[in-house]
Amino acid sequence: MASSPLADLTYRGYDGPRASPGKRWTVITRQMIRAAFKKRVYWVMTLLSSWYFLTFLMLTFIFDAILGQANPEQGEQIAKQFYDLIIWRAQLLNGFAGSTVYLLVLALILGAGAIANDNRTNALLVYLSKPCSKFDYIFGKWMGIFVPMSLAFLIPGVGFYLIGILNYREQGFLTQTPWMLLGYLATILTASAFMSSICVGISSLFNQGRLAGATIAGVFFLSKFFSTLVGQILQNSDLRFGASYWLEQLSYLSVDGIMFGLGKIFMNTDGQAMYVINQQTRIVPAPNPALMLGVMIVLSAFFIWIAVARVRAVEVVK
Amino acid sequence: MAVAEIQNLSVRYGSFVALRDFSITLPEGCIGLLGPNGAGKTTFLKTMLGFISPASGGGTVLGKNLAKQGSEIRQLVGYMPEQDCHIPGMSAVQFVAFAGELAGLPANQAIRRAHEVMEYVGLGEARYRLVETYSTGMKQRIKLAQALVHGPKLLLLDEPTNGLDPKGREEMLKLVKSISHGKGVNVLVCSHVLPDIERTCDEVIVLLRGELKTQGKIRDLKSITGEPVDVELKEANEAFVQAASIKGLNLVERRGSTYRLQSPHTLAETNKLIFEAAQLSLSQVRSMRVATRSLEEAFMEAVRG
Repeated sequence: MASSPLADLTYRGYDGPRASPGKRWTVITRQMIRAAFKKRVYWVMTLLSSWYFLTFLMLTFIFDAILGQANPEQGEQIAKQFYDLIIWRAQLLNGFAGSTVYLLVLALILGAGAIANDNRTNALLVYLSKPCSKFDYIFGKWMGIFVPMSLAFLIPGVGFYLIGILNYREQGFLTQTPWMLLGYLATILTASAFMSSICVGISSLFNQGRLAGATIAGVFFLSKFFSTLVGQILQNSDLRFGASYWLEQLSYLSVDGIMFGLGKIFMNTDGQAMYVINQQTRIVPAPNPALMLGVMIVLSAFFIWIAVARVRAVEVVK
Repeated sequence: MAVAEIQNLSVRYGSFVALRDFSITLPEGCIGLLGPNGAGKTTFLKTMLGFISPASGGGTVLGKNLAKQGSEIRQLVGYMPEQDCHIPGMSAVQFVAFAGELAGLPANQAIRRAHEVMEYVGLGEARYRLVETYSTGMKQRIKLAQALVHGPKLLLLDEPTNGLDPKGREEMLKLVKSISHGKGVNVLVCSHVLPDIERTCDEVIVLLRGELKTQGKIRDLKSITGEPVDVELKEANEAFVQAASIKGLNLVERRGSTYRLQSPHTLAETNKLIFEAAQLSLSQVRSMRVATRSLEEAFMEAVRG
């Protein structure tokens, strides 16, 4: 004890400043954000989620610089044809849609163990024995997933938007859809909120982060399998209007389908083929906004309800 | 000033009544909460923390209303649960600092306090290790540290020596004794290990099947009615018993050369009569002291009702 760097090892009370009990969720959120930012894999996923934008920029660089320099007249003509076809807001949406798998990976990294690991180590007793309510705990965890996940997708998207403003104004980047950034923000924030709700709900059901992660991935891929199947039926059949409409709605009923569908609604586009290549692909029109928003809100509420029901400081034996 | 005042508190888990019409005033100091398993000790602690809503009754803890000011109470109370608990993926000092922040301390104060408290509980050298890698004894200490970090006015310790080896238990009891005396912290120790309570507490509360059986200072509970005196002779002597009887002393118990004698007189008069009996029987008195019973005997009597 004498060799300790602290001279006075006796216990002293604390009479210093103390925040009033309230909004304690901010402490939990801050801690989760700090933990997320320290993970290298978080930044790798953020970089990977920008793959579509990076490829797009490389493509435009090829048109502008290489083709233009090799054969100025023909290059300019090819570039003009390319830019005339582009719907910028749809390309921004493609950037998000092409990276939903990274959204899943981020959900697994940030959210799978958010409550499950606390269940394993009885951490709830620590949280709830402090002036921290059940609402603080669940909302703090939810925000701790939502904020880093949103940032991971906003960074590449907003970066692309800024590059677009600087380089593609003449190609109609700003005039085509002036409010494009707002639509993109709404898309990302809604998708992150939906994914955070799923994570919080499923994570609260388990005592192991890995099991919660496997379940989240299972929900994601099983629902994706279903919507892909419906999508394939749509692509390869010639249905009457009524049946086609409902199949189109059904083709959005997966975790990433709902996020993509809401993206189409917020960006006010039916979408466009990636890099304007393969224009023959049938584009499924944007889903019914009320239906899609309703499904998203009901599912989010359901997963949050699971968390509210599961999180408790005392196991009640009836 | 009373630390807590509870009136007619009843807590139910479905049809099971865990606390029945329970009223108590917790004085300042170190109080032991005794009772067999299932007596309602942990339920009482968790009700004080607001984890469980009472079916009826209520009260105040540190002047705050139990039903309406749960957050304010938890800001002033530190809780060391019985089970192992920590926040995964954090080093010990991060964990304790985080607990401090949750309790309302500013981040810079929380980290300063975390270092201080870690030193105090004897984990200074291991503070940067992940809590997952700690031994059972260290986990007990880290639980105490997270309960102390925000400078609570009342500390609730649920089985603090659970799973500890003799050395660890000794150290933990020293810590509990140290915190609860002269540090401005009131402590409620919940345990069914009577020697632990006897070592650390000034007062005890005995619970049985959700009801208060007895409450009082340990020395009062251990005292025996009529103030009998234990007299140890150099060697057993039957003549001493006869002489004591002549002097009006009643033999209550005999163990080897030790006799427990009781009289209707005052303690000073009883002592005088004992010496006279010894002189009469030519016995040599080795020691004399007011007889007490063990806490275990007092506890068993309270439990038997």
